[in-house]
Amino acid sequence: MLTGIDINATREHVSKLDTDKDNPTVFHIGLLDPVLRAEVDDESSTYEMSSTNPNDKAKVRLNWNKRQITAIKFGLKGMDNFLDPQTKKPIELKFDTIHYAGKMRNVVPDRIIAMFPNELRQELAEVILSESKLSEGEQKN
Amino acid sequence: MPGQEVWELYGEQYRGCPFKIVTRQSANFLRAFQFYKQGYLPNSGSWVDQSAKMLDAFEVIEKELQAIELDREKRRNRFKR
Repeated sequence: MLTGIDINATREHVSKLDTDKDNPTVFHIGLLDPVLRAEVDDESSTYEMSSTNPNDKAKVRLNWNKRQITAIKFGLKGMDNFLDPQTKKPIELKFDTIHYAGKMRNVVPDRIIAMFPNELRQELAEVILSESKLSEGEQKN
Repeated sequence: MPGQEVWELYGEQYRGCPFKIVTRQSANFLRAFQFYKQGYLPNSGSWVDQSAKMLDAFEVIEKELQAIELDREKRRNRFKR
C-alpha cells in the first residue's frame, strides 16, 4: 500500500490476468501529481456544447483509451519479467524523457504500451488512477 | 467489555476504540498536514510536485478542522447567551 505522500514511492502490482503464477510480471505503480491527474481526467471526455446551428445536439465524446494510455504512460514506474510478445524475452523498460505539463518527465514509451493487451491496459490504468485518488473509505478514515 | 464498547462520533457508531480504526496512511497524512501548515512539503518543489492523493487528503483534513472549529464557535456562542 502506498502511503500517498512520497511522490517517488511505488507499489508492486501483479495482474489478475497473469496466468504464470510462479513467475508473474510485476508492475511498479507510482503516484500522479495534481497536474498529471488533471491531464488524465481531462482526456477522458470532450464536450461540444455550442454550435452555430441551434438544432444541433450537444456532443459528448468519451476517450477511454487515450485516458488509459496517458495514465499508464505517467503512472507506470517500472516492470519486471514482462515478455516481449515477439522475442519472448523479458523487456528492459527504458523510459523516454519528454517535456509535458511544465516539466521534464520520464514516460513509458508508446511501443511498450502497445504491447499490453487491451484488458491489461484497462486494469493498469484503473490501478494507477485509484492509487492517485482518495477513496471514500480513505476519506472517512 | 474492553474493546466491545460502542462509540458514536458524528452520527457514526464504532465498536471498540475509534483510534484503532485510523490507518497508518491516515496517520501519515495527518503528520504531513502538520508540517504543511508550518510551511514544509514532503517532496521537493512546489505543491504541483506533490502527490495528488495527499493534496486530496489535506483538503479533507482542512474541511474537517473547519467543521470542528465552526462547531466550537457555535457552542461558545450558545454558552454566552
